[in-house]
Amino acid sequence: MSVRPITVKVGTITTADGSSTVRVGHTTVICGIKAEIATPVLRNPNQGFIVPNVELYPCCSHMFKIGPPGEKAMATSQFLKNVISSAKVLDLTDLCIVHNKLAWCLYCDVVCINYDGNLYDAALIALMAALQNVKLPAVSYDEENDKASVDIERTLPITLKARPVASTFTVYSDSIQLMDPTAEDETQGSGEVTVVLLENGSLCTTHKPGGQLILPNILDTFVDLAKQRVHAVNTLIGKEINE
Amino acid sequence: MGSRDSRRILGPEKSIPYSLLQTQEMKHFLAEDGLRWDGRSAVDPRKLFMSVGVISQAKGSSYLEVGNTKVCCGVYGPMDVQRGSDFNMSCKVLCEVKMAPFSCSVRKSPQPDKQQREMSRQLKDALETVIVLDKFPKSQIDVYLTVIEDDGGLLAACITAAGLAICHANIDVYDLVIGASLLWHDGILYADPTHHEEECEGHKIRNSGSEGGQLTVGIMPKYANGQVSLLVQGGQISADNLCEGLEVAVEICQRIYTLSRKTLIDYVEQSLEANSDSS
Repeated sequence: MSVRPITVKVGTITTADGSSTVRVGHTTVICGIKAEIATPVLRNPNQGFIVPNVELYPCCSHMFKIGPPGEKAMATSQFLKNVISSAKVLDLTDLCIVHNKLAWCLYCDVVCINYDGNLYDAALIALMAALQNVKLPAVSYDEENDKASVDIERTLPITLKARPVASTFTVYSDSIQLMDPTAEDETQGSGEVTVVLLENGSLCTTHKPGGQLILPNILDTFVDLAKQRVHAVNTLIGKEINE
Repeated sequence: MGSRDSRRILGPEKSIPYSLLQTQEMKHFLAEDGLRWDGRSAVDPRKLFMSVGVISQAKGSSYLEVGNTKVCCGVYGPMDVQRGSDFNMSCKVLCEVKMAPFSCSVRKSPQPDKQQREMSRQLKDALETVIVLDKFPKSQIDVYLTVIEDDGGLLAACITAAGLAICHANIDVYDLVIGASLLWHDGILYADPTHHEEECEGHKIRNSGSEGGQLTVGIMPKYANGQVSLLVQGGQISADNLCEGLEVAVEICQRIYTLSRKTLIDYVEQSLEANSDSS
């Protein structure tokens, strides 16, 4: 039940407003965040947007084909969206600039360069690290002339309310489970379980899409192992951000 | 404005990049002191970094950084042709260039656009001259490129990365293919332009008599005294200037060629050492 070494680097892409490169063993994932300005929807006039998008190009592995996103990419994008909303990582009202008129939209694109298993963990770590690296320019709004202007000299980071960390396990049988699976482990295994925990040890998302049936006590073991990982990963990200 | 993508998480219907709201001051082509913005002289190339073996899943792979332009290439093959295609006595080459949405200053939509399709097509035609196709009948070689960041000279960087990755994949080639890009502005030749310089040149309204244009070449330096496998030129340049530009390009390619060979040789030596250590 050991994990592969994790390397995190932030600020790697100069064209993106926030970026990070994460390596979990051989799995390499790059997250780039571009901020654009949009009009808030009528239903939530004081909320901005955060749009995660995972791209799995055929470059990263033989399993993916050319064309529109396949199952794995769509599932990972939806997983990231679920984690962001259930962990309340970001208060969307912080992204609003002018009520009912202007709001930030953060497009978070996660591109996989080398796929060697455990995409969920790597994608979430990359997303969290990139979010902590984002610097949004100050926007001033002139009410009389209905004009907005952006000053890129003054930039502010966004405040994150939570830092979730995911841990994935592959289940082979009732007695064999592996943590942090590689691509080979995933093809041989009969099911995957992902648990996402917050810093205070509480569970925020559990993802078990079918697969081998497991007993509840195995799930408890998973949660305990995941708890140990949360602190290690968050200190690693924090160290990179501060450098 | 295409239909809404049903396979991706949807954001707001319309969003604009904040650079449009900035107080627009057009940056000139050259900085105040007459040098280029990054301090280079007209014919200085940018710093280069290349490495092979970055994608463990691929047969051959390479990663290339030219200044801020970052490109990653993965090669899969030779493998059986997909069902439904006719058997061919020479190999089929499939090439796809994908630009990550965050690679440009304005976010690119994940849907493929004309620029990517054009680059894929040009690269495929170029690589068909580099690979010894007759050695792989009834097979297919897939070359995939991921552009992580675009800061000018993109097609040239893609060609160099593809050449390196194909050699790393142990696929028979006539020679390593290297790419170089050049720019003419106001009649002066600039080597290895950045994205800002390419944009300035592209937006310039040309008066009659002034010259300006761009050139990208892919060259195999050592095969049969140097062969050009790709040449893309745009703008208005006189034939003499074009020939002069080609000579500068060949020089740049020679330099990159020695570096590429060294990278490949270092990689082979390292893997031999690793093998002898483990056995």
